[in-house]
Amino acid sequence: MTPLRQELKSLIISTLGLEAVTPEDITDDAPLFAEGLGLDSIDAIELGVAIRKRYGISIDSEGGDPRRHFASVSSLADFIAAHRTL
Amino acid sequence: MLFNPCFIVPAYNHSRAAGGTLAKLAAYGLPVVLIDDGSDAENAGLLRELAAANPLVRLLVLPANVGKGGAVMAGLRSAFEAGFTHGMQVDADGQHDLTVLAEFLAAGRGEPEAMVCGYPVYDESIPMGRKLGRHLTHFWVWVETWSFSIKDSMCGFRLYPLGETCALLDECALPMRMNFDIEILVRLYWHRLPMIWRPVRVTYPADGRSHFKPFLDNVLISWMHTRLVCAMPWNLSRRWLGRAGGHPNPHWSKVKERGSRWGLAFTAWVHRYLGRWLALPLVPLIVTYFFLTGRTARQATRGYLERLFRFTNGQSPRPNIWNTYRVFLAFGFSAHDKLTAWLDPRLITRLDFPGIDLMREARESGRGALIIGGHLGNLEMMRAVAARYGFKGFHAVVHFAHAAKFTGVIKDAAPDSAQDLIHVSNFGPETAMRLREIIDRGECVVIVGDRTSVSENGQTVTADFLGESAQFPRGPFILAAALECPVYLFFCMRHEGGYKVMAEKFADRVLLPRARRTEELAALARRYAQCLEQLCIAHPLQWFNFFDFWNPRHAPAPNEARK
Repeated sequence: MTPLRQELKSLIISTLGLEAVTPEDITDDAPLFAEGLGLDSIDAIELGVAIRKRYGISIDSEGGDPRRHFASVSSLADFIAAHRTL
Repeated sequence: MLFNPCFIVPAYNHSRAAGGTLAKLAAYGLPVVLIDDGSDAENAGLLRELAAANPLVRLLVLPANVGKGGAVMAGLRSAFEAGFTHGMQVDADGQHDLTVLAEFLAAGRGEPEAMVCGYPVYDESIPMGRKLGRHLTHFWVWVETWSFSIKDSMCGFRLYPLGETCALLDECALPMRMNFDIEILVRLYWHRLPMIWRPVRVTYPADGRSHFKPFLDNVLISWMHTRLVCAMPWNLSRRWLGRAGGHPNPHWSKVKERGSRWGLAFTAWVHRYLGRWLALPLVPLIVTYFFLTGRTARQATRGYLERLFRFTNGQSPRPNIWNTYRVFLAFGFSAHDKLTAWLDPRLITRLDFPGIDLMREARESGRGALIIGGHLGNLEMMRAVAARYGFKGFHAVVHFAHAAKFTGVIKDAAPDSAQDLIHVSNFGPETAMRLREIIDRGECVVIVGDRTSVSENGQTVTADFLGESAQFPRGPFILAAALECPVYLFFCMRHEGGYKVMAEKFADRVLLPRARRTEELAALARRYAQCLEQLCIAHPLQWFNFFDFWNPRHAPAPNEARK
């Protein structure tokens, strides 16, 4: 497991207050939203803002489909690695 | 969709030319429905011989001459009954260049739900009288369709999708003579049939006979245009509305924004081509139409007036049909102003803004701000305010699926203004990141707080509103907490012929600690609802949520509704 993925899992758990979940419970490729972790749009707001704050990501509103970056922990980690400024 | 075409060839005493036409059609190997429109004995005999000699030709003999339109209709119906899906109308007299048929058939195969229409390219053989008549008809067809998309309505060289066409033939009586070609095209346009246009060369044969009788046919064509113009408002509005069937109390996001689609597109058109003031008298007309046809919206508005009346102990306008209509009317005028605010915000001259310092504070504090509005009054007037005071950096979050039509109109009309809209089809983490980016730049995000979104999975917060509990979205408050910025409420209410901007600082920071989140959310929603209540009391006729706000039933899936 890469450190970034581990860090992300902890960030997700602390941001969303998922008390009963440990980083080991989150699989790298499991979907974050809908099935999988079952996060909803409210969680999406908090998660998006937390990631922006922690990693200083700036996303280009016109480029590609940003939605797929948030599909799973591994896709999110790749996205952050490519776009982080902090 | 299947594509099984045939040719439809009406003939009235054109037997000699018909022979040549049929010989050319034979190259395509497709069946032909040849209609003998009550020709005289000699020509009838020749047509019979032609049909007998060609196994692909089916002859349909009409007992008496009914006119070209009548003959084509008989041919279309007969072809449809025989199981064909498309009918290519070809005049027997040989005036159309048949070499383009392959192209027409290919276009029809590619888009079988569309009609492929020919527009004529003339050589010098066209008689002057016909040419003038064509220009007149072009003009009337523009009026009847409010569109330039019909390139030509008189050329009968067309590939008809038979299902839609025969349904129309059953629905209304179409004219029997030359005017048939025009009327059926206008009506199919009203029925939203897609049309593909292809050029076709036309030659008026020097020795050919035309059955066009200048006086009779011009009178009939004039009468037809009169009828079509009279039928236009109803039919055209049905086209614009998409003839959408509704079901009771759908969730607001499933309701097509009728006002936007129809009223805006229409008023925008008038605005642009006839001028802003000319659009004004049209507003009551449009509104009356919506009032009469929009039962759900009417009931919802009346329900609102009833609650307000009880809540104010009878101090608000009585919940009767007249006051319900006045709410609709206010909405119509606000749509008109909305458009002005987008197209040229400086035209909104009467702006009263007692809380201007709050807006300055929101913009200039450097901390960014979240501005929550609602469907009460006219939030778009913020654009006028921003233009007047030179404020920049206000970004409105727009529900994309719902407002697509609206932004389409705006993008056409005012491309610069559309830039600071943020489209949201499904509020995801990337949306939140973008909003946070705006806040980090010290700019402002504008959202509405009185519409719950489907993606919240029914996770709403309940608050008392006008004496009854209603559902409010949690999104705006969660967003406020996540963005960590000050929150303001803004409403632009129509007041004394102009607009009054009501501003209030809602919170310097919204904190939602997980342990007390539910209670905190309820308290925030109640404060928001209280603010709405005060505005409803002061401006009772500007509540523009045309759905049952207190009992929004979630809409069934579209196919369920149809059952």
